[in-house]
Amino acid sequence: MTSNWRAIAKAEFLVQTSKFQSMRKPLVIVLYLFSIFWAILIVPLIEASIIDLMAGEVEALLTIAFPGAMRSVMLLLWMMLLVYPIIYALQEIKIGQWEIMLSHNVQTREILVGTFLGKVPGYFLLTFLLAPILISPFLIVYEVTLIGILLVYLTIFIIAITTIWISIVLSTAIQAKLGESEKGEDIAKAFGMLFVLLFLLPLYGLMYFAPQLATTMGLDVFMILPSTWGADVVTAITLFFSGLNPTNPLITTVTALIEGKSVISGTLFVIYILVSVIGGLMSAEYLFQFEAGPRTESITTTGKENIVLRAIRRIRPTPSGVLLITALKDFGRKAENISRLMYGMFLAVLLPFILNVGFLSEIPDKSIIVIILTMMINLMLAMIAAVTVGGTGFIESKDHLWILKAAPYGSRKFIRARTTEAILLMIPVSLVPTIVMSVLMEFSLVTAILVCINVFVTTCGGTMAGIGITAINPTYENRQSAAFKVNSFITIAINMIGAIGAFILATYLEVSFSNQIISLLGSMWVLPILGLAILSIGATRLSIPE
Amino acid sequence: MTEIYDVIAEWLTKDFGKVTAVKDLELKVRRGTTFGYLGPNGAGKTTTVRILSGLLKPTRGKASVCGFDVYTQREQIKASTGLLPETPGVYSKLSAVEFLEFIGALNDLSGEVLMKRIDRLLSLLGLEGRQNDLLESYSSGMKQKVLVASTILHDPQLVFLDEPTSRLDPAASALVKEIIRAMAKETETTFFICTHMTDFAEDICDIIGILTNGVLTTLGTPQEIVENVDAKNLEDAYLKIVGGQVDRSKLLSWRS
Ligand SMILES: Nc1ncnc2c1ncn2[C@@H]1O[C@H](COP(=O)(O)OP(=O)(O)OP(=O)(O)O)[C@@H](O)[C@H]1O
Ligand SMILES: [Mg+2]
Repeated sequence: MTSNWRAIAKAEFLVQTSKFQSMRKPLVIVLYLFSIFWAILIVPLIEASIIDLMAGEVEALLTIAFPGAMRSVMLLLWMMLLVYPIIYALQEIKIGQWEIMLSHNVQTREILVGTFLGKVPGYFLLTFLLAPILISPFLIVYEVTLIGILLVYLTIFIIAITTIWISIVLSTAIQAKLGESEKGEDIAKAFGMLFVLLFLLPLYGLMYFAPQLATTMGLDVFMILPSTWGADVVTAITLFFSGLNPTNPLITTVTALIEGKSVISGTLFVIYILVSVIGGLMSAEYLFQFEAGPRTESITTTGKENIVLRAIRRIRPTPSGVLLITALKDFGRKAENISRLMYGMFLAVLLPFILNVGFLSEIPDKSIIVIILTMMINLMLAMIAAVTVGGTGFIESKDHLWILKAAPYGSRKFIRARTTEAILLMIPVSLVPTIVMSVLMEFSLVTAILVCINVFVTTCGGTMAGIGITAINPTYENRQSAAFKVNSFITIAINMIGAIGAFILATYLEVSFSNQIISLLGSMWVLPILGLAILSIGATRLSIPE
Repeated sequence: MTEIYDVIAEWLTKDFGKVTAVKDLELKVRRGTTFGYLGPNGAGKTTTVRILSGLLKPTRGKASVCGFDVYTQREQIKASTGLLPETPGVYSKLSAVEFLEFIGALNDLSGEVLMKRIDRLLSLLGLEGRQNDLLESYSSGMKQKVLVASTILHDPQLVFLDEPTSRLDPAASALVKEIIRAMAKETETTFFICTHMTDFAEDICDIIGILTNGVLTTLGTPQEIVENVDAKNLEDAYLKIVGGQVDRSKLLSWRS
């Protein structure tokens, strides 16, 4: 192996830090120093004072729930790191990039190692910034020593990068196989969805049969998940390096809980790491390879239109109907759009499950739980949907924009079609997670319907904001562009503000009127009003000549 | 007989900050004629076309297109003109038929009429058989053909073509030439063509304008221009006017 991987890693790193330009080196160093301060000083200090304020109650909760909570945190981390990059891999392969690499005689394995190493610094930073927020309370309560703290973070980092490695191997494999046959893309698409289901179904099965979620997470069935092995290692380290007296009931209770399991978990964890690293490298040699053959594009021929499209054609045979159909086709044929929406739905469906382990079961007032859950689903869906529906591929190039503008009122018609399309898409996207949640949380029928309406309307508002932002500042096909990142950031920020605003309003209405109809239907207009305002600014901006 | 002009420009100017892309343009293009717009890279041809098709606001000056004012009646201009942009920008995930249906709908066409036109245009351009393939798999010339079809789909009065033949094979550009000739003759369609192909321009254009650095320096029929500078053909005349002499000593010196 030559040093090609080093060049690829460097390019990957440069792409990731391209925002900082010449400030790159000092900024990276400052960020690293800050993250260490953050992890061992700032977060612990803040959280320690919060825990002090709440006195003993939280403490007791934190310790008993510790192993279970650790497993759910790791599970969430694992899912996000594993699933997201794979779903990204379904996006269109930029042939040009591979062509450049292949014309320089690069091996698949080098591409793998290079992309991976290029990403490590970023994820290292992410671990040290995010993990402390979740882990610190436990470290404080158990009075873990400095060495223990470092070991805990190191373990979490190892979990993170092993997961990244696996997901890079899998996504490279998907990309290599993607163009192999005419059906390659469909296969990859199906695989992406199947993958999501494979994780979701067992989790829900478990949840359904076990009434108490906190104890569910402690169940041995979870020993099949690699995230559990890592979580148990973290628990074991915490106990081992705890400053508490070994006879302290906290220690003895938890030790009893994970007794025996930690050795198995530790062993499995090490095996898991070895197998994934070696397996990944071997598979790049034997199972899949980038070469001229697989990458060559296949030609896709469109078939007959499906029922939905034909129905639209029947109901609206007008030009506006045609524009709507075209918008749906264009959006739906981009595999990454669909899989990104699936991913958002998947996380939204997973939410009640994860939340319940933590604090939700402690809240006595059921109507507030409904409002909290509604807000969480809204947050998740509005953000993912808005970034997907706006974002890339909305307008593919500057010339594409000229074509739109060259038609009379072209850009307005286009925006209208795109918005209608987004609203149609939001029907399944918002209903599926809401219905699943309603069933699992045993909402009454009225509550369920109210929540469905609330989530649908809010999500539509979020997507309008997303489309509006993209219209104000078109991004074309470039995900690395500054415009795309700025847009995504603004869209997410607006949706967060809108969803949280709606949540505050809903809580206020609930407290004042204690009527779900008023609180859920009265609060859902915050994001749509915001979205509509941004959308009309966007539509106007797009239609004025330069 | 009163003469109708589809393009009338007076003192038309466009500044991009320090750069003046088009300077005091004076131009009249009569209905049913084919106008050829020549000039070196960066001369301001594309900018002129964008202003005249209502996409770009001029900095100064007056212009009317198909009788409509470029400041106040842009949507009417768009309804009666067609534009072929410089580089093919199409939806990669739509087929040729779907893309043309989309363009037709943007121009308020739909149903039987539209589908019939699409079918005929695609088979005229030799794309039948491939019409249901996604545009992402088209070659750049094939995309160009689809775009040519999209510009004439709604039967506009005036068609702007920005380098229509730059990606086409000889047979396809001959075909485009024939389409232009037929439409100009039968339906009095006016064509405004930016091009670098002097022979193409000489062949089909009634009037030719040469733009250098935003200034229209030459205007006339191809014969007039050739005769005026005592040249062999339009290419020769163009080189004489624009100055295309090559300094041979510099050709290879960049390597040392
Ligand atoms: N959006 C823009 N912003 C700033 N300057 C521009 C813009 N568009 C064009 N220009 C400038 O205006 C001048 C004319 O450009 P234009 O695209 O009209 O040239 P052209 O004659 O079409 O050239 P070519 O033959 O290469 O297509 C150039 O100097 C160009 O840099
Ligand atoms: Mg040009």
